[in-house]
Amino acid sequence: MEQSLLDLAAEQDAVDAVRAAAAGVLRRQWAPERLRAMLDDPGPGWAPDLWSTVVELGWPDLLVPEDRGGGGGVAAQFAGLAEEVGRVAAAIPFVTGAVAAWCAGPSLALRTVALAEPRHADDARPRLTAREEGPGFVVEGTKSFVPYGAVAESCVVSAVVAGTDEIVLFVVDTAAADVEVTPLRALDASPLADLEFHGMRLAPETLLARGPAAARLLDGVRARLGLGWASELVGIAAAVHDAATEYARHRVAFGRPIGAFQAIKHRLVDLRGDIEVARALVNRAARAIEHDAPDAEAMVALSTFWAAERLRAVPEGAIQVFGGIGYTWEHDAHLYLRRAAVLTALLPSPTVACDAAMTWLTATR
Amino acid sequence: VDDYGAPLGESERAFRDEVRAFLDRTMPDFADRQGRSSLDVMREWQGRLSDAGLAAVGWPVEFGGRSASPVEQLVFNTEMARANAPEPINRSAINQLGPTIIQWGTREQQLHYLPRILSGEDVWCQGFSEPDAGSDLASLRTRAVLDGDDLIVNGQKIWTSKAHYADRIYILARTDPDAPKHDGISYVLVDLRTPGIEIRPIRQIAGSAEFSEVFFTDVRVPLANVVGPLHQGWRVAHSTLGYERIGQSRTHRIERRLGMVVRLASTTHVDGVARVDEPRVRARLVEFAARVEALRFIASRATAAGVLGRTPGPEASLAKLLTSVVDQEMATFSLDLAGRAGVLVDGSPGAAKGGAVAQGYLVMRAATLGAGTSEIQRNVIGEKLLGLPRSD
Repeated sequence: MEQSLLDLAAEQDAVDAVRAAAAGVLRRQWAPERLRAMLDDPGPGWAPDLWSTVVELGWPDLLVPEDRGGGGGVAAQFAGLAEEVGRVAAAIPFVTGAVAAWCAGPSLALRTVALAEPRHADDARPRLTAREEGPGFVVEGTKSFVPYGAVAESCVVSAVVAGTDEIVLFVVDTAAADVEVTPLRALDASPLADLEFHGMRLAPETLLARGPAAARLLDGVRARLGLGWASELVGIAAAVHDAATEYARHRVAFGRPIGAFQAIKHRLVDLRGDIEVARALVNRAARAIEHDAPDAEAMVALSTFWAAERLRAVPEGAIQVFGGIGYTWEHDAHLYLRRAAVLTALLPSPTVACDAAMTWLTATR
Repeated sequence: VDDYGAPLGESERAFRDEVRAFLDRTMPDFADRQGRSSLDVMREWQGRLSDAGLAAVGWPVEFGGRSASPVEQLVFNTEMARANAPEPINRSAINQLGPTIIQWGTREQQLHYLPRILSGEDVWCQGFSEPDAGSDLASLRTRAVLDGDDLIVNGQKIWTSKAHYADRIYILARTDPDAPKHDGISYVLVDLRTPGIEIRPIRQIAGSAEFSEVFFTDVRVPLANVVGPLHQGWRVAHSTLGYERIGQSRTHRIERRLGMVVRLASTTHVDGVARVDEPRVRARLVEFAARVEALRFIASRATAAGVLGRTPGPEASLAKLLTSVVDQEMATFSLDLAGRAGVLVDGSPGAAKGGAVAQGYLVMRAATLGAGTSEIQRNVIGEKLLGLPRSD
């Protein structure tokens, strides 16, 4: 018994250590006001300098096993790092970068993951078609709302073999001529893009997996993306909640700090409750992913469903607590609101998450 | 692995298997007993647990317990909840009074009372609250005056649950009226059949009376029934309150209710469509499941922290508030799910779950009132956890 609990504690300590180190790096190299400047700049809003630093530190390779040249980290450390990135609203592709490395191996190139498709909710069943031709494939169709798609050098892409339901995963060079990249402009200025594949020819070596192996790999990718984004949202929500709480302690109205008014106090407590539920769920999901538990998909589904349902409401509520000052361009609140809105849109469809959770729920009750 | 938020060790797995084996052979006898909370069911369940040596797993072995670790206690509670086991009639005495007697009681008190708690021979209730001493317990006014080898008790207790069927009550009474507020109080064990005790049930909104007022008029109690030092009952009471379950049993209550709501949604059909297939219903169920699963994880983390001698994280202080809110919401949603059958009561043709849905709806109004209203909880969390100024 002592052994197992000590393992748990050691694991928690390892996560805490990684987080503390990450927070230090982010504090030195990034500040949320940089995001404000990006909003006024028509170019892609991200921080290549910070990204170079974290690549050198090996963050994107965290989930890659040590024997494959990675950091050999656990899912809980990945979630912890994502939360730290969210806390300062850092404009770097940590989640997609780490998940791309997890499934395709370490790389120096800026790499992302493209799962979403236009007017299609279920990422587990891609519609982008791959037609076998000669030794390779020809890919036709569109991936939409690809995070960092406008600046990535390559991209993990899910597709289905034409005329079958066999899943294939590729690593695609997004600078190639037959990929049409359409940059999108979102609330947080991050370099999202739609990727259109016009009969793109893919050599056999770009194939990561096919068939049941690809379906399993895709499940792993979806689980880790969901975990990472939900964790990043937890960080965003926690940071803006801390700031609003601090403000409520000191801002005086009607002769007392506004935090003494129950309308403010109770709102902050309820939002904190929503954050703690989200944090417990991502921790729970991280453990399930790490142990390859049968309920891992359901736990991620609960996490992303809850995050989509409740976490964007935290910066919304925080702005209400800040009052007029929170509505100004100079205040950081809208930076968090913007990031939260875009991350919520990136999360897997709540309907799909709901179905996955319900399958588990009805099978276990 | 993640059933318990922590991997189980070998002895914990063996313990789990023992508990499961007990449930496998005992639960069939209770399967078709309607109204799981009826007194005879709770009494019989207590007896079965006691016979199997599982009535108070957290107590030391020498007093009939199992000296179970917090993780084993978690295992025990989880297995009971999963099997939808009845509640033992003496649960609060096992969780609170028993450990207090073990810590503070005399050898005679331990030998006399503890086995009778385990077997359910004595059913206990707690007499702490008074009309003017609720949250501010130390302003209690029930007096106990020394008279030779006895105490003479006069006063009134209120919100005493189980008093109408309990055999005994443990009370706090002021034994030294001149001492400062917290100093002159004693912790006294009283037989409810003693002359001078009158019990008046308080009828609640659901129609039944789970609480009572208990009046003491010149009630003579042996001095030997004082637990811990005379006049030092406040410290003893602190032990009792400290033994309050760290949300474990509440976590299991919401797990049980979640299962009930999911099954209700699966078995209720409208125009041939199961309600569990309605998107709005699915979204609500998943929202409940998210909170219940998170609270389960938070409780097991708090247990692990306790075992390792660490301070539980801030999330633990939110657990009571979150638990009572989700519990109440699920009961309310059950009423919506059941449709018109939901408002039909026990005995009516067509009543959903034999009237349990309607009953649960009423009863769960108390979830956000008992053990500190949700508003008080929010004030305390806002002040202690968030560091916000007091609301005066």
